[in-house]
Amino acid sequence: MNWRQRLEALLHRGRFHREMEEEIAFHIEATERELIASGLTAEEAHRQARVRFGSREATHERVHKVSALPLESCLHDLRFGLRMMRKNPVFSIVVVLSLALGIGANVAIFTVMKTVMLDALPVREPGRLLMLQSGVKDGVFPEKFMHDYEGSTWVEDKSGLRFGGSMPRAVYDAVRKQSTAFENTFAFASNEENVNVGLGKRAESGKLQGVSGTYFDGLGLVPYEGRLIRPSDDDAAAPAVAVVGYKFFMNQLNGDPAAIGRMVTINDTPAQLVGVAPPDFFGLDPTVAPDFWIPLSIYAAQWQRNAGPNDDTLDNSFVWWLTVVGRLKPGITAQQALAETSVLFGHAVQAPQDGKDATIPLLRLADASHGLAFLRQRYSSSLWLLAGTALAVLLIACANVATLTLARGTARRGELATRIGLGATRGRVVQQLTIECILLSVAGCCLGLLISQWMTAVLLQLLNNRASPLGIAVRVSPPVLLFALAVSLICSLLCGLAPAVGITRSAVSGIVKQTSAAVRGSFRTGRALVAIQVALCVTLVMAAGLMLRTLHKLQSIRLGFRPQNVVAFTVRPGLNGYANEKLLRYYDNLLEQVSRLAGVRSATFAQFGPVGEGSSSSLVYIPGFNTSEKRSEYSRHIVGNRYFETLGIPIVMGRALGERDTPTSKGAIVVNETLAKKYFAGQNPVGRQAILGTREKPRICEVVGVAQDVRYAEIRDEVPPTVYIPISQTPYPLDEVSFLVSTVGDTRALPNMVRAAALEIDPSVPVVNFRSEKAVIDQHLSTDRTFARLSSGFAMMGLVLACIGLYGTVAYGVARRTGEIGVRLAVGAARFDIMRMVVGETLTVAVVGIAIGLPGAWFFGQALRSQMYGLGPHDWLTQVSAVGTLLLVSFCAGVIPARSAAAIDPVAALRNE
Amino acid sequence: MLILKTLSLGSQHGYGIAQRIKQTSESVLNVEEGSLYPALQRLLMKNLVKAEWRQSETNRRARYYSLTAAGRKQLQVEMSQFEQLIAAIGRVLETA
Repeated sequence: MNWRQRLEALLHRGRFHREMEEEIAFHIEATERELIASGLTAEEAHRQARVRFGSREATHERVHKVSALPLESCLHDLRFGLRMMRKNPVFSIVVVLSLALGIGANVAIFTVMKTVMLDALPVREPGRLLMLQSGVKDGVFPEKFMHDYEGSTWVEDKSGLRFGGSMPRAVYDAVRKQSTAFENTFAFASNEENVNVGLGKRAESGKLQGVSGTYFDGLGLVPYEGRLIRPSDDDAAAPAVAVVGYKFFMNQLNGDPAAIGRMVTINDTPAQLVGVAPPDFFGLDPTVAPDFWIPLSIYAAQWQRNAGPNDDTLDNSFVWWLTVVGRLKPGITAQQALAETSVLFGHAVQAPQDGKDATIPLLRLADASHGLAFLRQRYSSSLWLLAGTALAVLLIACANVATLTLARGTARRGELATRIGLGATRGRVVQQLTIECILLSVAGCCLGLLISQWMTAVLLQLLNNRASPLGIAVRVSPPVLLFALAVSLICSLLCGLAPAVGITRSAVSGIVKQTSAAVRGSFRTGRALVAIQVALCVTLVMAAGLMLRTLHKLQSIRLGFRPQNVVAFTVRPGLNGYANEKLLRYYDNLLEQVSRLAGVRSATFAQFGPVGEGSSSSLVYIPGFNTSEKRSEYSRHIVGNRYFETLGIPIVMGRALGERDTPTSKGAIVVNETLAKKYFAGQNPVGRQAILGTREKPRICEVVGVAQDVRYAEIRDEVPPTVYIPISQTPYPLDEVSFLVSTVGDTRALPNMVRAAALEIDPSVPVVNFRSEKAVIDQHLSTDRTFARLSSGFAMMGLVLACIGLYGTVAYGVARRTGEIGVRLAVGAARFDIMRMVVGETLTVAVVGIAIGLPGAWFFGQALRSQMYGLGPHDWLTQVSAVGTLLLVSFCAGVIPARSAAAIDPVAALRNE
Repeated sequence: MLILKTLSLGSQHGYGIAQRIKQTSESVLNVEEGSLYPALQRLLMKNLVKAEWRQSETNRRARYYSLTAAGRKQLQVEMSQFEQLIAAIGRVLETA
């Protein structure tokens, strides 16, 4: 019989079956005739013939097995499995949900982690990109080589060397011109900049990056539209061009291809928009995601204009401001490139002016295939923490599946033993159980993937807060899908099949009786599994408790100002060439216009908005407290008129800053309570002197008032000593300010009215970042809130799963001991005692679990320390409530089976035995 | 091999095969029905025998098995192998 015949047999199962049946019947009939011929009665012959043939079913099964495709029995099992799932919906739903929750959480975190930490840049052959980094020992600033360092923070590696990615222009020029190891060398300004972009009649704000002409060629990118920046564009004589990012192109330019070729105004420079970058490209640092790229020649020209004609900053080799990346030639190793580049670097970095002993900073070439590494550091600890939590949920889910399969397997022991007794081989039974497991896990996996979609979105929101949104797209990719499938299969096979196989083994030995050692063994395993679940739960609940308490503490902090009905927005006229007098006049004009709008109670402007928007600090000399050599630090706020009134900050002593503080009047400042307490020893500081400015150029000011403490910048931080300086008197010109408007009534129309007012003053200065102060505070706490929510969510999942596990085990234990409980009742135990016994056993398991879990929770608390505010990792309230919650939950899980135990009818129970 | 040998004498149904083996071996070899039909099925699948439905001597429909060319060849191979084996065992027993 070949495959075709086999297939036919499969398709005509009915006929095959009938023919087999007929053949067997014929056989038995023939035997019968023979027996009659040998002298038996017809009746006896009939019986004997059947006895001699043995089990017809078994023969059938065996013949069938010889001819059947393995697929056929699988299909059969699949149908049977689905029937079993339908027959036992609670079991199936709980297992599928457990797996789905565990898998969903893990897939979501794995997806985000993969994108953030593992994925390479979407450029041609990212593996050949190397980034130049310079290293110094012991954090000593290499001042013999460097006066100014622009760009990313320095990163310390394991050997204690601190590495930074910025280089002077001379290094870039040397490597680009002389390197034989790199087929292409490109560079970009390490700092991105906020710019105003004039688009005909309107202005938008965007992020700008200056890149060398070789940048896009070096990365090997293909434009989405138009063309990218070419080496010939990077020349002071070439016409100005700009490339726009895909997101900006789609959102602000409506994805209109006609926009390519148009002129835009970037700060003051008109430039032609020549193309759109590919959709998935966000630059080398995904935290920056520029909206525009311009050639370094234009970038340098703009810098020059802002800095003044005598500043040669960008060509000065003491200013390190460029990130330099090279693409290795094929066949050249990184070591060869390093040897050559180190020599070029050594020559290019200006020789020390004094002393020959200064060692040149060390050069290294870092793998740039994943872009810059800073993002990973920023998020990795939170992600690992979340991954740990998700893993705990998955473990609980697995334990749950195992417990349930164990209990159900024991319940099905009779069925399995019967099947084996009727002629099913053990392999066949295991195959059937495997298919049931796979069915459950595939269902769990599918549901888990759905859940993960939602959870990924939540996670991204968590990572996307604050001022720098992530420019990365997270997609569910084949490896993630494989990961999900692998996890679910491993979980269900390990946790579902292992107990099932154990049961078939004992079933093989023909045990149909219920009170075997094997049953007791599986019950013990079940209790151990539940204890582990409880232990993991303790950790999760504790973590959630700590996060919730942290959030609560943060939300109940007294801010010191009234955020209700305060709206803020930002203008950056400094980017459009406003300076000094003109700049101040712009601010005053806009303030006047805004104050006149309907619904505005009071308006002001300041260097920073109150919460989460940065701060600057400087040193102050206060006669009688410190010396001009040893000055004390203060946090500096430059504010406009009516600042305190608008934000509702009470003035405790003296007066607020106001219109009488003019550029020509005596320097006036307001200090906060903390400064008064710390630097004036609690005495009345009003009328006292404070010397701001530098030692060379001191600025003598008089304290005119004391304001109540306000939490600026980070809500978590202690209030620093703060000085408020009127904008009219500050020597620092503010290129940009935040306007703060206190409103009454409906404010929905306000943004448009403000925009109209600003457009009237100067259409090229955009009004950006409209926000309500309430929303700012909410946003500021969003990390804490999302963390608290996520960990509470995980803890809830864990609790529900552990509760189900506990309930299942106890209920199963009660069912198993029906006889024993019956005996107890029969000999006079009170029903209450039975209940107490069952509940007591439940609580014992819970207490054991809690005892195992507490050390784990302790370590987890330590790991969470950096995320907490206002409490330690061993906050007793959290600990007590976590343990209490678990005990309460386990009590509830025990009460229901305890009630059914107490309701056992002793007579029925004993008869059953 | 026994089944193949039996069938080499002519086509036969399952019951007949069992009877023939039992008779010719003078009841020493008793083919169990539980193994006979799976064995026949295996032979069918290896294309060593073929099956067809025919009227039996008692006028009932029965499935008659008969050897295919491949079956005949296989029987030859198995017989010669078996003879070699028996001869070898015989020699060992004689010398012992």
